[in-house]
Amino acid sequence: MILKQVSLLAGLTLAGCASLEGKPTATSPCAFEQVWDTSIAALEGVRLLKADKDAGVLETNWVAVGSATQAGIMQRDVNKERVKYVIEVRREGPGAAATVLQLREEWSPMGVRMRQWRAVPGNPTDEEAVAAEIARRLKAKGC
Amino acid sequence: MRRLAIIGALAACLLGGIPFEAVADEKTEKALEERIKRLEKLVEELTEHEAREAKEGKEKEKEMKTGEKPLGFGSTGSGKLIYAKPFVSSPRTTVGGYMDLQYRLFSSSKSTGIGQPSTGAGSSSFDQQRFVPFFYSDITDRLKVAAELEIEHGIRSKSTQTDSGGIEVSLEFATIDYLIHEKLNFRAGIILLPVGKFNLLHDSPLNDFSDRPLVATAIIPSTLSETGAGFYGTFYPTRLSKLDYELYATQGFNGYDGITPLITAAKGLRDARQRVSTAEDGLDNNNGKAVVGRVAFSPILGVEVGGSGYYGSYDPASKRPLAIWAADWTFQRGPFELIGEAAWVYARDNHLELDGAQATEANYLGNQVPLPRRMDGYYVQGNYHFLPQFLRRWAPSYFTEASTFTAVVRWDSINTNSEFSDTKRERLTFGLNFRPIEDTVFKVDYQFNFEDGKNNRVRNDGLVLSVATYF
Repeated sequence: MILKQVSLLAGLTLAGCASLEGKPTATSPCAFEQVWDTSIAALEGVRLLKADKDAGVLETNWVAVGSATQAGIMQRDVNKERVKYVIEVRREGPGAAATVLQLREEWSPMGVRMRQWRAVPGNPTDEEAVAAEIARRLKAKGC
Repeated sequence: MRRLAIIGALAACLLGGIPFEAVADEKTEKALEERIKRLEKLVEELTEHEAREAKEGKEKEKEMKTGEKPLGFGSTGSGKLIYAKPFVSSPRTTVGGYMDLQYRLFSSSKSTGIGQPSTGAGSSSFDQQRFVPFFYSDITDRLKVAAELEIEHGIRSKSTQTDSGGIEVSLEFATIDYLIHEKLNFRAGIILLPVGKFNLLHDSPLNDFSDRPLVATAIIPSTLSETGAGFYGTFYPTRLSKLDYELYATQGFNGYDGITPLITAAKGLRDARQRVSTAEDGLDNNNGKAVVGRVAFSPILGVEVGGSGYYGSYDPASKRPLAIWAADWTFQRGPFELIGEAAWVYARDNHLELDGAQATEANYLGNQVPLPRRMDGYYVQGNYHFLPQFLRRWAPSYFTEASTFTAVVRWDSINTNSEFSDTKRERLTFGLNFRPIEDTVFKVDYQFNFEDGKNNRVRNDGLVLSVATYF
């Protein structure tokens, strides 16, 4: 019984390590270092929380963004949303690829929801925009 | 620059519209002169307008800097003035609330469960159950104050009933948060106890059924809050996972009124809560304090499992501990949701009076049975969100992108004296609700209630229609 519970917990934990498969990716013949540097440059204006070059993972701090939702029957603009970006840079043949993930959370002062931030799906358009920006910058480098 | 562009554009239009052969014509010259005059006047007006706008902008900026907030609504007309109070639109404080109204139509007036709404002496009733104003203040970036003031069954100014059948005006929660770090924050005040998930998300507009789960009214008697202090925070163990925790020291249950035990099979833990206990006027009945906490782990978006516990003494001598354990789960995939909660209670020696004599109560057959030491219960609920596209095409102003229907089914089961008596109660509920916007919901539910197993049916099935909204 305990083994089953531990297995279930381990399974759920490992699910959190799932890859970013299917997320927007900027693939380039540029070297890993160039893609790494370009990915950092593409995140200009956002503070980095983590830049682990060995693991190829960049993670930004939370950034407040406009909320798409309004609160209550009076539809007030008091809800908040915040996003953080995780960019995974990995070697691919002679070049490298940068995959973009957006984590998004929302908060509302409405009732018990004021107690904490709640995870919601990231915006695929934003993810694509960051990936496109990395690709554009890499293309400009001409490699 | 803008002016030049306008003049250029207008001049181009003007000249472009004149045939060359007419240029020499005297009439045309006059017409041109007039047009130029009109243009000059227009440019003058534009310049004045721009200057006026710039001035107004600067004045507004100045007002904001000096802290004088512009009114959020029109300030003319007596009806509008009340809404134009600066505190309503102050960006640092949000005042809002939620309310609900339900109509209950049942087979009889018999109870449908501990802490569940009733229909009074008849078998149908309107009930404005909850009107809950709330306040949230961003005092500084690190200091927040949040509170909910609950008014239950507020229509009456007097009532002989107690608990959920009576009038209740109390602070459901009122907390001061000091944000230290995402992983560690301090909270003090009247705290919503993190026992199970439903207690933390109990607002009527958030729930897809009108009535709360049985386990959330009898075993974890929501709304369950106590005065205390502690810490909460969030970790992100992996890229996609999230771990939330809360840990508090609180006042604890008051399990006795004099020598009379308040934890019974008939009332569950409800009457021993600090917020309804008359013992010690809401203050502690002993020197022991309770510890309560919850850990919720979300490995990926849409999946969350939580475990929570409460431990504290409930008797005057601090020798009888009360323990509540709960597990909760949420699985979401596309339009489907599966949520639920299970809870177990152990109240040591609750079957004994404080002097050691047997403490009893009458069961449903009228026989005296020992008061409960153990209770348990759970619910499982499935939700399916949908909005037929033809409705959006047919009436787009009623069925917007934010609108949704939800089909809901829930199975409830509790036993408030699982050791000494057969006090099992079960419920099957089907429902359909419509949310024109996320924060407003119209619900239709039908309940099948089963008591004491299915062998002793009581006629108390019924329909509940309700509406709830945040405002």
